Amino acid sequence: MPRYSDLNLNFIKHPNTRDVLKRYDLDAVKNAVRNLVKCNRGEKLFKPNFGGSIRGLLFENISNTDSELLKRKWNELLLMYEPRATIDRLDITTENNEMYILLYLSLKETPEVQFTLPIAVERVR
Amino acid sequence: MAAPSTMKVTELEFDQIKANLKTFLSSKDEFKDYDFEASGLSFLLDTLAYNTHYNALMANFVANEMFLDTAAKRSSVLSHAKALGYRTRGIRSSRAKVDIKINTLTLANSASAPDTFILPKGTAFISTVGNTQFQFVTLNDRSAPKNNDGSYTLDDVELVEGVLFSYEYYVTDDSPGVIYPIPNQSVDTSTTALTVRQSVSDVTPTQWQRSDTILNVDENSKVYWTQEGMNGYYEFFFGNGQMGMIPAVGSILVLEYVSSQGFASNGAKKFVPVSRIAHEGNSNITAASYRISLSQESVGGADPETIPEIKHNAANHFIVQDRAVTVSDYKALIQEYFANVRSIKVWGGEDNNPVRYGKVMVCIQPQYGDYITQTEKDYISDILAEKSVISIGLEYIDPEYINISVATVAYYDPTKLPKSMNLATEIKNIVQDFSELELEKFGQHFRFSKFSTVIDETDDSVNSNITAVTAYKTLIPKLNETQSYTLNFYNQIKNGTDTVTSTLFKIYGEQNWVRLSNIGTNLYAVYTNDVGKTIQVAFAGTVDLSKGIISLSSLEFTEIYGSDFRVTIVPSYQDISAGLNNILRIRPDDISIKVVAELPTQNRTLV
Repeated sequence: MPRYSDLNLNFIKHPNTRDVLKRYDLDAVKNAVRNLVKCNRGEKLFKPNFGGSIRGLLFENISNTDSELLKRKWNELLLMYEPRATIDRLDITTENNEMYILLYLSLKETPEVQFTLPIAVERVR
Repeated sequence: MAAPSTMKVTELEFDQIKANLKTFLSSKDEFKDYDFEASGLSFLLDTLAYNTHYNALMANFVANEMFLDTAAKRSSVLSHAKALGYRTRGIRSSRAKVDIKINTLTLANSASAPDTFILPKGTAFISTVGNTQFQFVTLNDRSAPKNNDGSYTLDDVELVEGVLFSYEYYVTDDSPGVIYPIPNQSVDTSTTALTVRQSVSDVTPTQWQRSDTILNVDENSKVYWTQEGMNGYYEFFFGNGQMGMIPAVGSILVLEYVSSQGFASNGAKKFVPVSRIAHEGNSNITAASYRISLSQESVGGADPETIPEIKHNAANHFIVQDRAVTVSDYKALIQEYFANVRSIKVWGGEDNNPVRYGKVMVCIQPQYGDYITQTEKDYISDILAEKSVISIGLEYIDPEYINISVATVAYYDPTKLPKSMNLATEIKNIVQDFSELELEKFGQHFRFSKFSTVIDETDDSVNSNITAVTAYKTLIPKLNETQSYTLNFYNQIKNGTDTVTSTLFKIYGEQNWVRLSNIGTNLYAVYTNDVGKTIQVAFAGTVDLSKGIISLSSLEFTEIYGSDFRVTIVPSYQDISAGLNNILRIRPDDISIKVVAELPTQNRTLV
């Protein structure tokens, strides 16, 4: 029996059951962290502080200091809204108006379970 | 996991709805991340909860607006009132009466003095109330024949506050139900006058009458009705062809109305014409010298009914069914048709003292001033005559004001008093508020303990207060005529000496200023001589201490000191009750406040 189970917001259909695809355990946590950091503040109803506002970073001059600040900020968010995971390290690279963020995370209950979560943001127009 | 046995469906708040959805999901095995805000499931729950929240709020608003008691929007309240057959009262202009005497005329271009001078409709006057200037107009032509000395006298010319407007409509649709909006939010609908021309070339327009009812209206009735529209503007409309005629297509409707400023214009006393007073239709004939004297100051101005007023009056109107039978019918009808009412008391003649069978006694405290005018009484009588039972007559009784004088000594702790506070002024304001809120209406009694508590609660620094209460009534004696007077205070008077006193006056045969003074139940006119001894001059009447009735017997007043004559009593009890037509009040001039500082450790020296 999986410990965590969540819904895939892409609503992909399971090829056999034809039901909506679910995410379990580590995938469910990754899914939640991605939702959190990619959401802009004010987007989630009645939760004005929810969201990593990643889009606002797109045109910033990112330095190592910024990475550290962002890590702290997002860890505070995780504490409030996604207490299952914590960010150990955060790398940001920018290239041609695109930004790649690589999150190194671990599960709080089992710190030995570590995983990465790549997030890419790019201009579309 | 077992499904929850009950499901809460009454919550309106987003968070509660979402919590209920989580409770539901907790009984299912498919998804377990409902408790984590960042999970995909949480986003789905947000959407579901938002949708439910949205529908619940909408249902709540709709349900509220569906009932007169809970409706919040004016348009909804109007709609409910309309269903109950109630027409809301809009703004009302105040009306004054003046006498105009035109002594001489200016005659230009060889014009000659007319035998009859006509003051035309729309003649404008200016008057100032407080610091605001108001325009008043005449709504009808008034004429006066030439006097022997060449002057013209126009008595009781009615001036209506506001600006006279005229608006034309072209009829393009003669089907029933066409609404004509009046493009002015401040229209006093009681001043509207509608003339209808059949076509542009029609030189004999007909006057159509404003109606408040469908009684006696048939297919030949040239009537129109007014109502407040959903957008706050007034509008008028015609009947359906069977009940009231409809103007034909091509007709031109000319609506005249006064745009008013309502309650603020009450109390205008001095009127000056805006331009020269001219004879109707002839600007060559104007008044050269004239005198305008006040016959009746402006009264009756009122602001539009508020939403709470509409709710109250519409329900009463429905109960009354436009008929005056019971006491509450009279109250409701007078309040509906007559705006200048602050408080009203109605009782049957059988309850009156003395008994007056076949009469309904009406006592009205106006919004402005102390008494309603004779014109206003006539207006109310006319309205009620159509709706009351045959053989039942209306009798007006003016309210009797019992003025309460309070002398308060307030003891306060200076260490607790805020620096910016003037305690005496603050207490005076509180007393005035008390009078306005707790008194000044029929049936409102003066409760001393409440009053004393209000003073104590003015500020934390007030330790206590010692307050003395007296009551007085004013009397307008007829000078140089021997007459008896009766003053009823409706409250027991304290037994003793000088528990009934008065302001100074002179009586026939006595040079000194005297005052009233009682010894028990006997009342005397007395004065105090140079060495401070009280000298009785004449027997002045008797006092019924238990009933609070003072009878002044056969006194001939020759002069009174000051603007009015006051008779003051010391009541037996500090609570003062109001009789049937009594209104208790505390006027600002009757409030005496003294504040005395005392430290918590200090022994009090009573003042």
